[in-house]
Amino acid sequence: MKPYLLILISFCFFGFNLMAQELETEMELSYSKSSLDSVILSAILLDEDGEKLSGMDVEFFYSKMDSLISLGQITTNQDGEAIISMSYTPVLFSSTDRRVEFKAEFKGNDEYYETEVSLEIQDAILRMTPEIIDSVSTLSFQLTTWDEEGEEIGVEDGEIYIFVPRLFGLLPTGDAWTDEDGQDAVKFPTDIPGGNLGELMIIAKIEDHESFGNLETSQMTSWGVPPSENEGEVRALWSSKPPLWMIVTFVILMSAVWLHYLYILIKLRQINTDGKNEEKLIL
Amino acid sequence: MKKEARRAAIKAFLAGGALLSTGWLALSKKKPSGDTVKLLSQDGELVEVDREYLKVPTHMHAGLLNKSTTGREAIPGKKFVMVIDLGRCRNALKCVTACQKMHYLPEEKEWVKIKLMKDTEKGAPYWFPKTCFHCDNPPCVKVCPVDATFKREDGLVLIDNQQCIGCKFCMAACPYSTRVFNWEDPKEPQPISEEYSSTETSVPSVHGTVEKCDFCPDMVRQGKLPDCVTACPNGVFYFGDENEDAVTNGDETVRLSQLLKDKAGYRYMEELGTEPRVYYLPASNRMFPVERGFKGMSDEEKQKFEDI
Amino acid sequence: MNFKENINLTLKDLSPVLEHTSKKEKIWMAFLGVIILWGCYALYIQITQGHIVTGMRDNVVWGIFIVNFIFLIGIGYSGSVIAALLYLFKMKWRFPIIRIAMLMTLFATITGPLFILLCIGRLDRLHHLFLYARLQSPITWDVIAVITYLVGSLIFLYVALIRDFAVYGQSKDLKVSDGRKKWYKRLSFGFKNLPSQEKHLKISRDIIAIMIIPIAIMVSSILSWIFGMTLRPGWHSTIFGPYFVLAAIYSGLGVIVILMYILRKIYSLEKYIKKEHFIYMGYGIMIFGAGYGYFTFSEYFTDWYTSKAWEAELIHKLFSWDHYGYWTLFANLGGILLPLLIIGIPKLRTIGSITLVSLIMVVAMWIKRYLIVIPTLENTLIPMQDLREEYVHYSATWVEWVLVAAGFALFGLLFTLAIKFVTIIPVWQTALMNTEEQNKNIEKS
Repeated sequence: MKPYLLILISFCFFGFNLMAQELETEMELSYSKSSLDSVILSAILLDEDGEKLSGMDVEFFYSKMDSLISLGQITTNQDGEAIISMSYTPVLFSSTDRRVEFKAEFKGNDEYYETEVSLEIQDAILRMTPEIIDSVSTLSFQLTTWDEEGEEIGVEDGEIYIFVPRLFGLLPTGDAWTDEDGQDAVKFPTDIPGGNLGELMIIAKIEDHESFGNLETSQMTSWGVPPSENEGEVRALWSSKPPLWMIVTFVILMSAVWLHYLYILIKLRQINTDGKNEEKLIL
Repeated sequence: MKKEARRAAIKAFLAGGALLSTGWLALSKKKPSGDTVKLLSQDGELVEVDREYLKVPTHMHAGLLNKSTTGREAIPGKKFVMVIDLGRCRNALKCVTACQKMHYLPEEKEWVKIKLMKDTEKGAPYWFPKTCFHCDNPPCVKVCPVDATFKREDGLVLIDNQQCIGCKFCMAACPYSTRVFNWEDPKEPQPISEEYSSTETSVPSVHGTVEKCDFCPDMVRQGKLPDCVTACPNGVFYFGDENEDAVTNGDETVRLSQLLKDKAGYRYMEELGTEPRVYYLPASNRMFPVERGFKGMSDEEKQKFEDI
Repeated sequence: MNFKENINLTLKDLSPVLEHTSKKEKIWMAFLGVIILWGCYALYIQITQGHIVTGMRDNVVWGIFIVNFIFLIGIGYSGSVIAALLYLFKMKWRFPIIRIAMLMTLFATITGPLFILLCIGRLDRLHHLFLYARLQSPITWDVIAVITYLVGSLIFLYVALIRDFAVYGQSKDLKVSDGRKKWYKRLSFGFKNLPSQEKHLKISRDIIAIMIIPIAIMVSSILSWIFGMTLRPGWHSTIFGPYFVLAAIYSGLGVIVILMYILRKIYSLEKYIKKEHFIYMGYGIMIFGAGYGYFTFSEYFTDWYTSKAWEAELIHKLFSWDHYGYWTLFANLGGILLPLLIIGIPKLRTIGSITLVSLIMVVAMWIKRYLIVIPTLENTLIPMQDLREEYVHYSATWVEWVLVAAGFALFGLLFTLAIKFVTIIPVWQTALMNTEEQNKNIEKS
């Protein structure tokens, strides 16, 4: 009797333990800096199977002189993302070489284990200047960051992708590689359709750089080809309004027929009036 | 995994950085539950429903509630075009079901049809997704006696199912058998009352009228791709604007002229003279063998294709 | 005998039909009434449950309703042409035929469009055809055409009837109610046979007879262009306009012969409808049959010879025994070769044989219309690949057949009621012709 009881109790113990055990989680953190000088941190919270977890609280921090300062607490949305945004301020990058560590922390709850992730980012600036050099539309790029002395230096081997915004997405139009001075100049195609006045926004991005995260810059140019004149409402077989020759033909044919009908009706009327005075049918 | 986070971030500042500066900020404040959406019940009443309990996609309702558009005004400056890559289609039928879900269509009614085609005796069969071609010289619009189907300046051919008398002349005239008819009252529950149907959403189905693929202008007005494009797991459908010479299949955005040039794009039965707005990329360099399309098909269903 | 006596004689012969309704006629009308009521029930089913109760589906969107429409409108369009041609060429034997032809025209043109209405999905929106009409659509043309032709035929019929109305209204021999006689008087519109009235009437008759021929040709062509203006093989043919014109006149002649036979038998009109009428109509059938056969051959031969893919599929379907081969054979043998043969051989040219051949021809022409509409719709460019049999092959349901029968019953009923109101043989013209002949004989001797 006693051994069985012992086994039963240990099973229950393990059972409860299993039930009480929390699930593993993991988190990914990414950093983006857009051309409007806004900084976005995005953390995606996943469980051990890679399923996105929504409705969880994630807190963001950044490091300032060995201390962590909270940026705020965000709840993950339907897609498991917690996104926090802020204006770009040098306050974030206070060290001389402009490096900062961002951290996202999920404190965990009854269901899930806590988890945290950190990301070290160095501030960098991506500059794009559209200009016409020797009557060729050129984009000049400069990618700079700061060295240990706080001096601005060029970044080599920066992979820059160039896009043009279209209705449903960004159309890639080319790329650029920065040289040892962090510079590059590329030709921009001249046959890309733009707005009514030829306006065209050009976007340049560096994606997923190991130090700089995601950088983006954009410029509005007049390098687009304006669209050709719109026809407006036409008169065709397939339009709501018929071609004029059709209307003319129709009116002519209809008149020809119905005027004859009218004439006959007049004749019948004449028969009627003629016969008003007669009494009998003359046979 | 990292790619996911990157993609999410890119998507986020795509919306925020270049185009809309404030839109995405709302994303971070959104709560998943307790999020209600305004819906029109079948009686025309406005009710609030928690997003969690909605089985229907919510994106379409913004277009429905906006009754200011008659549906005949074009989305200005656009000329919509679609490119279908026949080398990628494996008859997954996800486009068909997505379209049906969005428009409350029963399983038998298909606005997007996948056919097994073989161009010539010794040629290879291939899966052929067929939407409405929204022709520039539309034989269906020519014959409509009551101006119920019409061609818009942005290239779309739409149907006003409040004006249609159901004579089916357009169905007889369309050489591509694209149009379908409501032979009886719609069987699927239509959560939107008929009063609020819009030419741009093409819902609800109206008994005794004609309907067809409409290139989802209500989605396009909100900057979203039609459901067939996003639902396809292989990126078969490219959709975009001919005026800005760009099409996208949800993953990649390419220049239309370049795509057609590189992959020898063509239009189906060009000699009919209807000037379709859908281009096809030939079924060469296949992503999947054609047999993949028969996976999971019953023998009875396979009989459909015995002529091929 | 003078004219007046001839009138009285003729009227006496023909008046019994107008005066009383026999038991046979009552049974006949009741029978037709029952079919029409059954049709009303079928219509109720169709309106409440939707067109799903028919056999029409997404591929074959037009079924036997449209076939019947083409058939009825076809004979409608031809009646006035036949009457007008006979009148303009002053054929002496035209009188019995003209009245029958015109009545056939009127009632076919009324019953035919009812079948288009049966095809319309939203009958509550019919006014859209006028409010939002698009001039570029062949259906708009057809609506205008039917209305124009109906008015023209009514005018034509009235102008032919006006003198008879005068006779009915005045005759003391005609034993009908006073109310009815009053109606006849009203309808005669004051015609007293004054020389001036005679002149007005002749001008009217001439104008409408001349006008109605090009009108009928136009409206027949417009009907054909509903099919001709699409891209489908079997429909998109340049010959369609003339084809439908000929087909209409051809089948119209056949129906007139059948009507002549029935009326002659039932009302003992042997004195007025003689063998020569059948023979002349037979000649007409031969001529138009030959023309129609020539057009048919031209159509099929041309499509077959070049074997353009989409067309070749249709030709294959029409001529293969697995599909429509037997029907095509019957439609062409029974519809074209048989009449030519029977009427062509003098020994076989009897009243009975001509009528029988006309009957077969009329049925064959109905089948021919079916072969024009449905196989083309079943022959889609993009393969159907549909598991639902009713979407791949069209088969008419009981609702459709009942409504088709009810349409013919309605035609029959209207015709029966009409001949109770006006005589089948024109009294005035017959009396006039007899008087003239008698005067000629007197002159000779």
